[in-house]
Amino acid sequence: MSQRGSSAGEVADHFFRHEGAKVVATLTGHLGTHRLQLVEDVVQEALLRALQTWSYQGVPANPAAWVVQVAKNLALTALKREQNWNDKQDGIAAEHERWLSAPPNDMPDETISDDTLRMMFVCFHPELATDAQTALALRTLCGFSPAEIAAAFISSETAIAKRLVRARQRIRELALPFVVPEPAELSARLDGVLHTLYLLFNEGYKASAGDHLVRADLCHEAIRLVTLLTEHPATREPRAFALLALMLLNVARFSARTDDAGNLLRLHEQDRTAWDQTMIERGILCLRHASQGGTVSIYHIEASIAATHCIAAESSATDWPRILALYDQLLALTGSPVTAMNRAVAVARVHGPQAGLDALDSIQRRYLLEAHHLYHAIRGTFAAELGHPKDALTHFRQAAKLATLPAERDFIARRIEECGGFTPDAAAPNGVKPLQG
Amino acid sequence: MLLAKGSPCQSANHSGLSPEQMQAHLAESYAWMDDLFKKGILSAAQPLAPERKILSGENGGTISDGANAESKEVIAGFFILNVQTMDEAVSIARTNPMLKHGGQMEVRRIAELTHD
Repeated sequence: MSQRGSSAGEVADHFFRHEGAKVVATLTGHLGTHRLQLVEDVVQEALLRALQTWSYQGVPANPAAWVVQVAKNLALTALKREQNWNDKQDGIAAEHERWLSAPPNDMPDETISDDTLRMMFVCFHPELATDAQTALALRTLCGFSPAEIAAAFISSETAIAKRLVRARQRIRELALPFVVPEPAELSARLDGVLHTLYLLFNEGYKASAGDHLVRADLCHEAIRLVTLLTEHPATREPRAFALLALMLLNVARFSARTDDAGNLLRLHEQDRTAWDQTMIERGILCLRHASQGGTVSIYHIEASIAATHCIAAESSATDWPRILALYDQLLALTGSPVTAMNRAVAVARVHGPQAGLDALDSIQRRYLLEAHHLYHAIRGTFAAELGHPKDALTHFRQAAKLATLPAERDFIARRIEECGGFTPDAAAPNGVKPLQG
Repeated sequence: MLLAKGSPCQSANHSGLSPEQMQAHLAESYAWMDDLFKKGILSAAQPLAPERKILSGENGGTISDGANAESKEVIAGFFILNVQTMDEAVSIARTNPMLKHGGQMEVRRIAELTHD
């Protein structure tokens, strides 16, 4: 063993994932978005070689530079091979060859984050479908493998791999430039980027479908990317800070949402000491940054709602009137029945369960909610609070029919038991089909 | 001597390690080797880069890059152990983490000129 590295077999957390993604951005910046597939392939191979070499010799002093250099060499070889195969193609431009053959130089952090930002505007281009955007973001910006993306979206690895190939093809067809959009276009494009990151976060935050660890990673990746937006001069806008605040204030309570057995807990059942106070403080700080602007986005309001929950020492101390006022604002912006449904909960906390029911009844386009298990669960809760356990039972049973995730079904089964009813699958009366479908 | 064959990410039913798995595998493999070193069992270990030239014919007149470089038969690295018997070497080889990921280990005795 002639040349053992100094730092043993350890690298920074998520080094392979994130360093891989950085190198993809750097190489794409030099070689063009039409070479994204080639770039991803050589980076994957470079990571494999890192694994192979470092597991014998330890990690080199500058592991990032090692990976960049190997990836550049592999890219040069691949481009030369491409050129030999097809002489008519213009092959490698001289500048590409020069850069790829140059010895590694330490890249300043700004260059790396510029490249990552440009890559974000490529991956989240409005010409790409949303599911293509999220898959690309996870593969290209976050360094997830197709199998990990499949686990997060409850899809098959093959389907995700195909989706990625099509997305890269589309980028090639559209000849998407590797740039941060011009100021005139930037605001609208940033909206799109933030919206997809918001979806990505929600996908991770949703109740326990799919692989739990991968889902938590989705949330943290969304936070990492929005953080990058808030740090970059071109994109550090109040709405980006608001979205970051929203994410931090929700993820701070992530682990308290379920008990040790994985059961979903209601807000008043959660152990508030398990909330991550550092993250809450960071979230509140971001919200303060976010308010330094004239406009209010839905992220601002949703973050404020989350903040109101976070700062209540116990659930009985929650400032529901403030939350209701925020929901009024949110509803005025979104007009969505789901927002109206959530608002009804706040109405009930402020004015009592009957007012909550009335609020539900007055929702416009209420039929859109009928297929939503939460809608029926909320009605059931209000009915139980009004002292109508029979009505409550009917609503909870309807909710049980519609819930799709095991954690949701268990949650509703517990409400049914509280009303003195039987859980459908635990005790179905003779000859009656269990309600669960 | 142990010969490690195949890359840790290729096997019939393996589509490749994710970057996170690679990182975990790195830590595990390095720890495996480091432990053997500290115990004085491992005297040398080196990875081999995948590029290769295969010479044959008189004066090495025929040079090829070899068959598929991704073949499971390609040697990816070697370990030299200070052990007395084949059985000891086999039981050490069995603990190598790369076996989990579709790699192969070949155990060979380094032939000696003299015998005790």
